[in-house]
Amino acid sequence: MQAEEWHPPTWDEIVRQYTPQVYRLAYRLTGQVADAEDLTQEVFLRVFRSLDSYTPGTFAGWLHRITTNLFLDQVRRKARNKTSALGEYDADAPRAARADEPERGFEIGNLDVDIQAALDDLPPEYRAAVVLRDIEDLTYEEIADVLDISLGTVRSRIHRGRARLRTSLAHRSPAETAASVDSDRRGPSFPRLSPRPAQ
Amino acid sequence: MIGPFGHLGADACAFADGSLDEARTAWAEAHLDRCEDCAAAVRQQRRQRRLTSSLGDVEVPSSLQDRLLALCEGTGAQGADDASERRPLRGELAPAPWAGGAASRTRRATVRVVAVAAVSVLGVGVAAGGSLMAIGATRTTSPERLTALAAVAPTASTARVAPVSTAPAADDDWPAGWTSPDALPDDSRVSAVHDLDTGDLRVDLVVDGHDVTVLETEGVLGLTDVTVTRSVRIGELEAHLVGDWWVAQAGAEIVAVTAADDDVSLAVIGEFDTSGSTGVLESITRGWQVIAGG
Repeated sequence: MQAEEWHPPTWDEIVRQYTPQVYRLAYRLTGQVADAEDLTQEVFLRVFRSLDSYTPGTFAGWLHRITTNLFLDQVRRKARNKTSALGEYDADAPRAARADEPERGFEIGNLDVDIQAALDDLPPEYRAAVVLRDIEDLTYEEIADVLDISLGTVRSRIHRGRARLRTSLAHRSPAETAASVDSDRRGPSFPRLSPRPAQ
Repeated sequence: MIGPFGHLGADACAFADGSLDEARTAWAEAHLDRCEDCAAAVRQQRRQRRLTSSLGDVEVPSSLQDRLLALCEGTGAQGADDASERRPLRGELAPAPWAGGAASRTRRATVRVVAVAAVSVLGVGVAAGGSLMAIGATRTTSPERLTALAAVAPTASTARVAPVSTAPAADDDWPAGWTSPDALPDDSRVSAVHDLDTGDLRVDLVVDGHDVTVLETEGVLGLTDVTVTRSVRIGELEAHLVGDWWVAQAGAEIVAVTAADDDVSLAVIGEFDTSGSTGVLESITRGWQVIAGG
């Protein structure tokens, strides 16, 4: 009965209904308005290309998968063209909060700016897992499916991602996050061992 | 997964989110009653989840929505009919990789290729990257076997507690076959050295207030049957995160390091890079490598 009633949504309906979800995820993953717009557009191009295989009820999950994996593919492509100090993705290098950038216009208060900046500092794989869990509210099983990784790996990435965020936020604005961040176990950051001339 | 030494480990987040199965949840609840460290970890996971989820919503730029709506112009779906303008757009897109059952297999394979390629591009020869991953190499040791050693409770006979100071321990305090390091970095000290029955070495360090456990064994690291969460490159070494342990092949040895902070683990592993490094832990490394030679 329901199947007889159902009609594929128009492109207009799809765009209006799902753009906020895709853009929010893209923005939290990339941390940049311009990058988020590019990623969102890329996602909808893929969607448009694959409309034939559209099935009702699975669309939101499908969009999470496309958005996240396009993002990770892009990061990995960039990483292959560069080497950084640790040899990992560029995103691993600490980046300063960019509250003063005109591009970054959503965050209401400094805390939002700090949280997004701390997310930006996470390795992309950790960031994807944390954003899917804590912002998109996916279950661990759904995240495992979206990222095509084991449940154990999902847990490990979320666990480490959140722990890093906490450390990062504690260093970034201790006063504002003091109420939210435990200080009892916070140690000074490990100073990079500087080379000492051989004797 | 049970963390090292029977703690909650990475399950702290799943417990905080109520995502552990019944049996593991029951175990965790009992454990949390008597382990303040794990209880603190669970509280921190909850706080951080609340903090991240408090991020405000984002506003979609109207120009973006207009561009997205325009994607379908000319397809007929909206009654527009400029098909000639539409066609090039479709032509430049590759088939969607997620459509159909075969696609997921392709994607998995790609991920694997990407991982290997990343290793080779980062300055290590392809052959070197390949041999590290190769199965069937002589004396391949899985990280699990190595890190299982950490759970061996140090007995009075095997534990040797070095002086609690930044001064290096005398050779007499170190297990036979090993020389003590002749220098330690500032803010670092050896809290215990364990000569494990298996012939492997466990060294407990305190680095800048962080507890660090280091395991070493002779052999070739095998990673084919384990889940590697992350891989990073430090100097000439490739470090892989397996469970809570960072493992790396350093010369003829496998080194495994765990600490509460990844950066600390990686800094310690970095000191095993002997490629012309003048790192201050180099002498420790040399001392530890004695066992590899015999």
